[in-house]
Amino acid sequence: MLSIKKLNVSVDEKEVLNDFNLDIKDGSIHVIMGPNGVGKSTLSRVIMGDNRYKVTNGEIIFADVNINELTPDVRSKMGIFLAMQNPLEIDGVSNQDFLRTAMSSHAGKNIGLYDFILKCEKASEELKMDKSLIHRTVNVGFSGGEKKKNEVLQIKLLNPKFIILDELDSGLDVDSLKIVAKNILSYKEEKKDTSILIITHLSKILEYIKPDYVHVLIDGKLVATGDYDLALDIEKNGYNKYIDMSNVIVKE
Amino acid sequence: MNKIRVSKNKISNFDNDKVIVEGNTINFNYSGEYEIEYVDCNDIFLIFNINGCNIKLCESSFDNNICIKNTYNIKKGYLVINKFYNNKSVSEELNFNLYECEDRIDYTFSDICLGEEKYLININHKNKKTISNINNRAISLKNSKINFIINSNVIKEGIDSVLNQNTRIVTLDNSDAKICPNMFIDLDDVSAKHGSVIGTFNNEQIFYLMSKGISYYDSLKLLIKGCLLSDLVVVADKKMKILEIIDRYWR
Ligand SMILES: Nc1ncnc2c1ncn2[C@@H]1O[C@H](COP(=O)(O)OP(=O)(O)O)[C@@H](O)[C@H]1O
Ligand SMILES: [Mg+2]
Repeated sequence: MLSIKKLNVSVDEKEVLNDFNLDIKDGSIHVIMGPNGVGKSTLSRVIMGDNRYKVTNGEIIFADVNINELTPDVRSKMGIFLAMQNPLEIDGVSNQDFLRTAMSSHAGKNIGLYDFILKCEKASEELKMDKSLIHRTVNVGFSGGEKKKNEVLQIKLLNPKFIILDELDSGLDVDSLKIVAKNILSYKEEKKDTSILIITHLSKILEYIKPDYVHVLIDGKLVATGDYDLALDIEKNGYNKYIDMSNVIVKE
Repeated sequence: MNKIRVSKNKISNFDNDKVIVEGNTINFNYSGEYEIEYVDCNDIFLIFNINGCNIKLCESSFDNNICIKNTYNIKKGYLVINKFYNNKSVSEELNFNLYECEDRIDYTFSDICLGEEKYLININHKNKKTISNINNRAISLKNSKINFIINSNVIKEGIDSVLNQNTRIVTLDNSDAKICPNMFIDLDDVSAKHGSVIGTFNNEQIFYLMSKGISYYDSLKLLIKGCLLSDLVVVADKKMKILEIIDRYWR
């Protein structure tokens, strides 16, 4: 599905990812954990194609295609989806207009209003979203949880193959997190080849979505890889051990 | 809605006994909603008197080289204007006079600027508790020039008045835009706010839209529609016409 090789990324002249490697197979769930500021969101944005994050070396291969030079809209249409840590407020644009335009772009044809409303109402009911959110301005005045649900709504409408969830649990209360996780799992159940990359600094979400692989990111590099037990270990003992490991690597 | 057509600089015959037209003066004495369209005009000079009533005006001008000087006299009234322009060039002076206690003007203007456009807007608060909300939204296209001067004046009698000015110009390619907001206030007991923004759309917003599969061009168009239409209250067929114009520039 996704293969990242020897990736270096800088933003604002500062190198954030350094010799970063990651392989994600069809249908698997990976987690990247790490303390604040180590480059987790940077990774998600560079996969999505945010041009402020410069790839200075290496390649990102998605579905056997090098996507380094592709714009975010093309990547999205190939099946990559990023649920951003802080979904943006888009002044003046109605959520309905936005969602329908996105769906139409994906379909390559205009999605009729009736068709759209049917799909949207079903999906937002499953997410227990307030109906009015569809008619409001994109993310403006949404609570943290409503913004996150709006991202998951888009997953259900756009049918991605590869989903990145950047700090999905931040802003969600326990009940909402359960609903959101249930929706993501049933999406994956329906489309078994879907791969998921969960980015988080806390392991709460992993109680609901069990990962196949857990990686630890420190200072732009993966310093450890394991299974769910690794996440449990981090929850108990924190990141210090891994930060020390990364220092050793730097000294070498 | 009642249509008032201003054609070749003259108010066309207007058959409505609730509105009295005398030369270039339009007198409103009863509440109502009216549409005003400037057709084939280049030199407009109109006086609107709003006496003891609530009036909603929807004004529009398309494809004109237009020079306008309009005065709106509000006496015991509340005037709401929603206005859309897409012209070859504009030179405009608007005067809003709020004469009586609690008189109010809500002015919402959206514009696609092609050529050279100058706007001078004077709001005169002549009594206490008067309210003015002035909202301008413009998209300025390549090589265009747009300039707003907005003067809110409050004389000593205007205690407890409320003044809001909010102007946003989105500049595409290289265009020349200026906003000069002024508030001349003779006393303390006034609530005054102004916001002026000139700039392009936020890259972060464009990235967000594109990351959901929307092309750069369509993202821009969504933002343009949002900027021009989100605050403007117009009837459905006018909105269709504006959407057609947006489609003409951003296919
Ligand atoms: N747009 C940006 N402009 C400048 N610096 C950035 C930007 N995005 C990220 N950074 C910097 O890159 C580093 C990693 O940030 P980020 O990827 O957001 O970390 P994380 O998501 O792991 O908390 C931080 O030092 C941050 O300040
Ligand atoms: Mg982050």
